[in-house]
Amino acid sequence: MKKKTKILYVIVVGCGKMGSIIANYASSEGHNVVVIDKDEKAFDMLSPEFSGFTILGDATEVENLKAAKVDRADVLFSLTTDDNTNFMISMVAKHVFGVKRVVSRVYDPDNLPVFQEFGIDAICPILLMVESLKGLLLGE
Amino acid sequence: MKVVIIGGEKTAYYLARSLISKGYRVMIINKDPVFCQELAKKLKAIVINGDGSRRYILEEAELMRNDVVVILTPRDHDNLIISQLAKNLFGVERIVSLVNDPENVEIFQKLGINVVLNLTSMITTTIENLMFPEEMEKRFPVEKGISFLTLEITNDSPSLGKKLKDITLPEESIVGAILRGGVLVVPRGETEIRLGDKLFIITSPDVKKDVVRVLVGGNGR
Repeated sequence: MKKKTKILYVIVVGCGKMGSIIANYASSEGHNVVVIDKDEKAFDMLSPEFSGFTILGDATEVENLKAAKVDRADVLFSLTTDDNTNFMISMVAKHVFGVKRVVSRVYDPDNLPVFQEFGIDAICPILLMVESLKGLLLGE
Repeated sequence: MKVVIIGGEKTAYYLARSLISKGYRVMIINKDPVFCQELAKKLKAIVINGDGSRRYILEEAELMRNDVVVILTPRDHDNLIISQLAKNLFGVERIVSLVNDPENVEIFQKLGINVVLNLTSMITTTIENLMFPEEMEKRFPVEKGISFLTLEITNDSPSLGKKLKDITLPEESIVGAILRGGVLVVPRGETEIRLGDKLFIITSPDVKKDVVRVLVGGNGR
């Protein structure tokens, strides 16, 4: 049985492997999802059951974020493959449109503090991987 | 104090050349190794080959609080992160950034980058000024809510011979200075407008036309 959660308005920027998995999951959980990607083919990764919307365009252009009604979003995930792009999208979402929860993928661990300083939840896959490997070394 | 120019091709070169000739210490950061070599040969500047949006490159440049950082890459998201790194990590106060998409000007300003250059809006403004009468010599395109005008008083100007206090200008405007025969006159209520006066006006863009109409006549085209 599913536990009841509030239905969220979720925007996912970057429909790669990570983006599409999150978008599919959020949609299957009953959330309202909008996915933005500048490559039309990227949307092929969305499952046939995906019930959200897609916007074809570059999310660093404000009009595309506006089209996604970013000001109404509960959560925005910025998951493109470029740190600088993720930074700009996150900054605009958080500090121009006031999105409460902004989560960004960060490739370069060096960039983490910059994201964090501006209240962006930054997740660095490399560091997560390093932590797992460390655990392995410690025999956990 | 040094001027650090990040990104940009021809513009970076010309800017560096001009600043060096004025005696400034110039540093250039550019991604393109071939371009960097060329610059290093041509200019008396320190050239760093690397991605200016990376923290360690900025550290290598030894950015200081009193440096001037000029950001010229053709990608706004790169310019934004560079400006934020310079401002927040290195405490640089004087940052000039190119903003390629006019839609982003407001965003950069909201994020604390006050001096932004947008070519599209500059060209637009220049074209608009060409279409306006010659009274409008200058309008600075940098800030949205404010316009600067220079108007010259001619024989047909309705304000000619009147005292400033008797001229009804829109609320959102003020005559900031008058240049009379090359000499500054500070405008007061009693100041009379004379032939050949050059009026420097600060105004909201919305009432600009009214200001022009009241002071020099015409329909304020």
